[in-house]
Amino acid sequence: MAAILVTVGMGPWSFDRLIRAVEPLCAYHDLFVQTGASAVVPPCPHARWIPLDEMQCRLSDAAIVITHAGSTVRLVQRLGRVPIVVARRRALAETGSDRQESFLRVEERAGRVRAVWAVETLPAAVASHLTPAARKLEPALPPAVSDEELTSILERVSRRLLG
Amino acid sequence: MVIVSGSGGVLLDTLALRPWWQHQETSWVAVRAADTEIALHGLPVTWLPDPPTWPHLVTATWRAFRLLGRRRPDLIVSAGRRLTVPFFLAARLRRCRRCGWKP
Repeated sequence: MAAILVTVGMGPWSFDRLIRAVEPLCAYHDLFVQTGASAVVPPCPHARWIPLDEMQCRLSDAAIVITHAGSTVRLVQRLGRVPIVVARRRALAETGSDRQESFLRVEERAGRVRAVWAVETLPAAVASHLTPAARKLEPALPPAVSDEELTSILERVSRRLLG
Repeated sequence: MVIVSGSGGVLLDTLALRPWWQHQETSWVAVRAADTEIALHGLPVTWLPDPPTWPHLVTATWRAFRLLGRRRPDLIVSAGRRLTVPFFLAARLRRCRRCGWKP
């Protein structure tokens, strides 16, 4: 049994397909599901919306993160781990563009995610992701810029824009 | 400075710039959603609807043009698209500086 966090992001689009796909996992794992705008209620602990600070804590604590192909992917990778990722599809009215699918293809090619293109295969993906070695991101992402560096860069940009 | 943000990843991107904007005189224009309401609580926010399709661009740009006329910001910052494009167009008309952020 692994502690698994499932998150569909905080945007206005539902992602019922992913929530339904994780339902069978509730019987075997310690799951928490952030359901967002989805109408499906999973048979395990869940919440529609989570403040960002709490989400950061949950991401750090979870052994496995299953997420849509949004910004959460980078948050997990910054923690040195490989997320299991399912892309929202515009054709299924799960988002308004093809950006998640193209982003996931790029990340999959780079080996930075465990991409799941058919949600029926999600339990198998979780089973193959149970060992720490499978979840560890190598090579690690470069560290995020420091607050000081970020401020310095943006000060420079804004000074240039403002003349 | 005016920061324009939608919901979801765009909000995360703009919040990531906090070390910079927290020291500036900042107001927000945002799409009302669960995450924006939580994250921007206590900050000066003008809530606007998310323009759903391109035919609404003209209306959204006119709304942005009027808002920028009242605020007169030196700089507009955003990471998004749908709410951002009208603001960047309006900023162009107002000759206001724009700062797009694409991580």
